[in-house]
Amino acid sequence: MSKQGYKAVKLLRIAVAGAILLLFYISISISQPLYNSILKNLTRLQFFPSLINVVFSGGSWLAAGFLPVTFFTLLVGRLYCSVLCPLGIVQDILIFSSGKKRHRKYRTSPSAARLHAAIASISLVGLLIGLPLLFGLLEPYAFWGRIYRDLVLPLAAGVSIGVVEVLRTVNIFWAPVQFRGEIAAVMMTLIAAVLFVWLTCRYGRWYCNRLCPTGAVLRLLSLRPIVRMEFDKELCTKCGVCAHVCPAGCIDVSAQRVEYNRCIVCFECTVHCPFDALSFTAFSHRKQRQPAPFAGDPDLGRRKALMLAVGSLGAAAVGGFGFSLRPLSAASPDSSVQDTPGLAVLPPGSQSKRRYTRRCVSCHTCVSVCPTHVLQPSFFALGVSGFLQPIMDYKTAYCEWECSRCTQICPTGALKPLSIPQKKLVQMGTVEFDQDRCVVFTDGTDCGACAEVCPTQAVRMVPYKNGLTQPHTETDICSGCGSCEYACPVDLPKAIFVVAHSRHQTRDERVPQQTSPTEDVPEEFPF
Amino acid sequence: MDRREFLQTLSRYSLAAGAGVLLGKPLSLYGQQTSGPYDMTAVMGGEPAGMFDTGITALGGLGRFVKKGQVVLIKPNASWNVEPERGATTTPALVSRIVQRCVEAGAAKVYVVDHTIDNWKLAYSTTQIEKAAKEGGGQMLPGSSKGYFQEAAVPGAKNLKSVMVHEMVLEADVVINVPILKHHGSTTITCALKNLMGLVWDRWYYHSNDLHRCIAEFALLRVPSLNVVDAYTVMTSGGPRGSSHRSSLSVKKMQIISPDIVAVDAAAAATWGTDASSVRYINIADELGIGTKNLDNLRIKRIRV
Repeated sequence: MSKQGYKAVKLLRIAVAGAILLLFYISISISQPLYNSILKNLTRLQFFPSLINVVFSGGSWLAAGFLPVTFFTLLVGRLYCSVLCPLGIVQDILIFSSGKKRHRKYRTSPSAARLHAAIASISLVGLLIGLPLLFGLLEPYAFWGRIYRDLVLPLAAGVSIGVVEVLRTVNIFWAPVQFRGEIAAVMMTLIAAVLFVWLTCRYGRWYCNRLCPTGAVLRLLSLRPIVRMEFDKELCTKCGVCAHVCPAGCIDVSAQRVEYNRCIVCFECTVHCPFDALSFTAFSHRKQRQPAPFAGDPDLGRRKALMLAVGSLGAAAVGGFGFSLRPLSAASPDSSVQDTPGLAVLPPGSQSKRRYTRRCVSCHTCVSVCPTHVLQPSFFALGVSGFLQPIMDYKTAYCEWECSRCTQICPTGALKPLSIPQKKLVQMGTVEFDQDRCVVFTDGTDCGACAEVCPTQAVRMVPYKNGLTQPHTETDICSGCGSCEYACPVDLPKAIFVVAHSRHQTRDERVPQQTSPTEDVPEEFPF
Repeated sequence: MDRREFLQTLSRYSLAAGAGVLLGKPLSLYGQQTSGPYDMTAVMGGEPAGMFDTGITALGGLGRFVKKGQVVLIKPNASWNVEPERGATTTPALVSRIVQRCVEAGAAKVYVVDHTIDNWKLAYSTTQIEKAAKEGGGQMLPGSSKGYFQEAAVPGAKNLKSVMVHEMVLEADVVINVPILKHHGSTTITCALKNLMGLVWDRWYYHSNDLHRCIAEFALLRVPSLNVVDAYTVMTSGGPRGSSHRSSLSVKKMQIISPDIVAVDAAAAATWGTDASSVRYINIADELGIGTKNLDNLRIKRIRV
């Protein structure tokens, strides 16, 4: 391919990547059915989320985006990292902007295969044995999702307040972007993101080839891609331009070779090589199949890579077996069916604490799309295995009755997709009423805030005394949506609250009293 | 009227009202002249939009309440993320018609707002109120953004001394209250006075500081110029939200229109099937002189269509 051709391909790559990232931001920001389905399809192409969804959560094979990703990685290498991974695209933007300003030159970096394999193995074993903490922190989509919800969203909320203030002076009344959340989650992501930005601006795609579990798997898949970057040793003068522009640091100029498994197929080298010595081509010269070792570092050769892979998978298998995870049976019986006192309420579709905490990678997509912001990241409310996983926060909001967006959008299937009618049957917990704290009893005045908002009438007002009404609860029809807890005007602890189920139940439904309104036009005016 | 001018007026009225209440001679504050032919019209048998036209004409026309160039704020009940057929929210066709008539009467701007209980975006869309407001030529305001709410002193109030209220309540020239009549689990019925609760930010304060008194006292801050009670489909039990198995709807095909907010609530109570005296907030509002619950003293035009 000519230089012009590579330039065109690079521009195409940038255009596709830009469009994908833009779509990600737009679809996660606009919570409407159309955008929700765009976001859903985008996340289906995310390697690990889709893998977990299909293999662990029993999700639909429509979500099996990891299969085409695997196929294309075997074919052309880690194109995924430069056009589909939102975190990767963000890195390319950072690299581009920092490089322009400071004329940053990248250096050939060591393969670091052992470090990468070790980190990936530990995180993957953790995922398999039900401790997805490290995996969730490193998985690139989850990291991007947290950056969006913890940094982009509050920033947008802040900016939008200013915009709204300006607009109202000209009689245009908009609502600012809503953000609600604890500062701790924001700070955690902020620290991680600052570190990430610094690493990326300084070392390029450092994250992808040291820490990223997806990167590690794709490295194994791209040991010998069919189409790949190759040197023409005749044309190459070892000038080193390619290595300076390679954000992955995977070009060894002295050996005139590209370490394919770290190459993210960005086409920078092919575009910048003054001698057209690099080409993206199907490799056919059998003689050259054993390239010279990568300078200064043990090369991730096929044998070593296989050993690392077998080692990691072996460890994972042993770990998984030891903890007797039954990933394919979605409703695996829980040892702890009893409600744990003080347990946080689990989101719709999570089914059980055990099932949920093992599958959620804390990408916080559900938190971002939740219309009432009742979904909030937890810290250790669900234990170490549930670090950062979203829970229902009924102190600041309630679960909207006519909504099941979180379950529809969850990329890993940790929240099983539910239609709205299905979600209405889920019992996340049951209502409990503390008469001693209720306004009706403490102040002797009417209140009824809890019953007013209850969508199931599991809380309703019944006669008390002196014409007052008091709350009456029926736990069998309660969905545990938290509307009553949120509406209760009493200072914490509230007089009415939801006690969480560690395993979701099915609530009873009452037969409708009336199917259609009765015609009752009065004969006379009643006043 | 700019904000400063408004606040000056407000403080003057506040003082007057405070003095009035202290002297035991409650004043009628905002444009409640009884110069029109009737104090109240009640219409029965038609469709909500048509009944409004009939009723408002009999009351002397909308021009009695909305003057050319004025800013109008309409407060429907759009509080729940449920379809209009469920009888929990104001009939959208009625809202649309009122907005349209205000525009025709020469209103400079017609705003529609509700600080909904359910998520405002979902509620505005499911209740079709947002669509209705736009179709009528009005503009829906975001009701759940705290930035649009301002602290205001409530003159003469005992419990609700000050309240975070939507700024348009303070800025609009005319407020039109368009509630739907419903059962309410704790206040028996919810109608005109209770509907104004959707103009305040902090609902919790009401509930923990004598709900009935707060509902009544809010009207000391600003009484709507006109109240249009949608009593077409009336929820007779399981209110105010309604549920599939414990609420019942009754089609009464009625509408009650009056500038007297207490009188429309009294008439609404009778329509719903209870006595106004059994609803505490109506009694308190009557005692505060916000209006009268005694319908015998009013000239009421009853129209069957």
